[in-house]
Amino acid sequence: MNLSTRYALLGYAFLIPLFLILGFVLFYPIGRAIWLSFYRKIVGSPAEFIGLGNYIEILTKEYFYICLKNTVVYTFSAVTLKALIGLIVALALNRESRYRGILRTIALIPWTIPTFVIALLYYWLFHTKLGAINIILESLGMQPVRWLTSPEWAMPSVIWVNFWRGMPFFAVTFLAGLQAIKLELYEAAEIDGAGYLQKLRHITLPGLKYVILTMVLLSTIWTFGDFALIWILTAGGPGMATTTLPIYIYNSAFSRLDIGYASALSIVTAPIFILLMVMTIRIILRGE
Amino acid sequence: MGLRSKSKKLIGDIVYYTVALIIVSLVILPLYFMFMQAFTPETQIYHRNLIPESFTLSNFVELFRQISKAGSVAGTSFFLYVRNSLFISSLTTIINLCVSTLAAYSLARLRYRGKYLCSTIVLFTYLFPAVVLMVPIYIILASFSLTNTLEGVVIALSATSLPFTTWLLNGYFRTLPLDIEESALIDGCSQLGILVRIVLPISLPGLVVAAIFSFTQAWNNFLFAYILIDRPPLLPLSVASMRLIKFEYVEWSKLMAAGIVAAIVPVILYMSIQRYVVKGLTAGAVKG
Repeated sequence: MNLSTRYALLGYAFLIPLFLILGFVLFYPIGRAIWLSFYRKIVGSPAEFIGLGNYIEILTKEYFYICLKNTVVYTFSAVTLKALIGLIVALALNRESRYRGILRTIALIPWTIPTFVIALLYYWLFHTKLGAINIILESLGMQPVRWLTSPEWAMPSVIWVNFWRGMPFFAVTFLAGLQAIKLELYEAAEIDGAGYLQKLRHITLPGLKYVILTMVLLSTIWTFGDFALIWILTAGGPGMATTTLPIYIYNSAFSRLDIGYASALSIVTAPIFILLMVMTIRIILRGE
Repeated sequence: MGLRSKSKKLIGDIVYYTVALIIVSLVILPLYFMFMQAFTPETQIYHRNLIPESFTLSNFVELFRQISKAGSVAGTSFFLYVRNSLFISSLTTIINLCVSTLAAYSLARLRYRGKYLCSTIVLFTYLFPAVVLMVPIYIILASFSLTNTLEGVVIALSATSLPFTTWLLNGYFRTLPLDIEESALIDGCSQLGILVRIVLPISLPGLVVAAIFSFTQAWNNFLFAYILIDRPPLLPLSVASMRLIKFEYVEWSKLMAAGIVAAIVPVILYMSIQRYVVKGLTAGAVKG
């Protein structure tokens, strides 16, 4: 056996543990879920084959579409706000300063705190009677707001919490991207008499394109799949005001105990993610 | 310096300090309320006063005191939950490091057919959202009677964290200089010997970063413990803290104290590697 064959075999051998585990926790479960999605399977009772029954129920009833709409509203608003404001903050803070290190550390704090802790903190801050936000509002002479329990405010409130956690991280990432842009480009543009907006359009934004794209796509995947934050804050309520697809999947499987339906729901949701993932992977691999 | 450039600098200063101030207060204010409440007596909240009236450690003492036999979250010492979280996170980290070091080395250094496909699969599984997996993983672990075990949570966590550490280490190994390994190869060292004796020692910083990432991600995870465990003595900190808001009467000071206890480990760990946090989480989107 020659050397390159030996290395090839070793290469495969080193991958075996990883793919064994992924097979058990990823590939096999997904296959099993696809299979179960064709059955009526309630926890504790035997499975009964119903063909496309679960899928037909999902696609013909309005619940799925309400949740899809909520998920899109939640994801689109949160990601857009994080990216846009994060970019503005990064542009404003992009300069040599002795505060740079400490600012970066502070901006990273929300990201380093576990999501469930942030959700619990805001659960209190948003509390109608005892939350700090309403206490401040009332001391300013304004009416208290039912942040998490009124249909019109629940969604903006959970979006805010996602924004609060993610925006500073976006800003830090964009700042790191800005600092990688070569200074000579700006100097050359200045000699040519370019103004701030021209430099922004022709140097800064093109230079940041890769970072912005990657961050927006990654964040879309993460936000779309957000469970803990919404579950702790509103559990999807009031009514279905903040029921996103992850919450709906959870409720189907663990409140209604309808495993077959929940499996089908997961399968229906997967293509949206897969589309986002393929886009992300292509961008990441191209950047390698 | 001309008047024009002077006024330009002044505007720059104003923008810089205003944005910096907004960011800092945006991050700090909610955290201030959290600390204030955690270190003052429960009654403070009912005075609707946002400036601490007195200082106490009793909320933390209460949290760690065993009141009743294990069963209700309110009566159980939080030491138990800290221990469960430590167990889950440590075991996840150890398994992750062993498995993903081998896989990452294989992907970064060895040459064989199908390698590109394998690394794409790893990246794909890293991005795969946990919510789509929640039902499938639950089905599989339930069929192996692994629900209500800490090991079950560890297995579920590896589905999302193994691909991540593999990807991270793959990127790290690629940055190492090849010549040391090549000369060891000429000296007759085996590939496994090279990995253990040469690559691992010089990769220590990368391994530490990977270890910290998998530890904190396991520590912060809410979803898998929430669906897999319903026996209170087995709960990790994330789910145990959340159960504090499920009572008729919420003890807010204790809740905030629990939040601080749960957040302190990941915040310190992430802060110790903050240079890598941005690079690592964005799958290397930010270079340099």
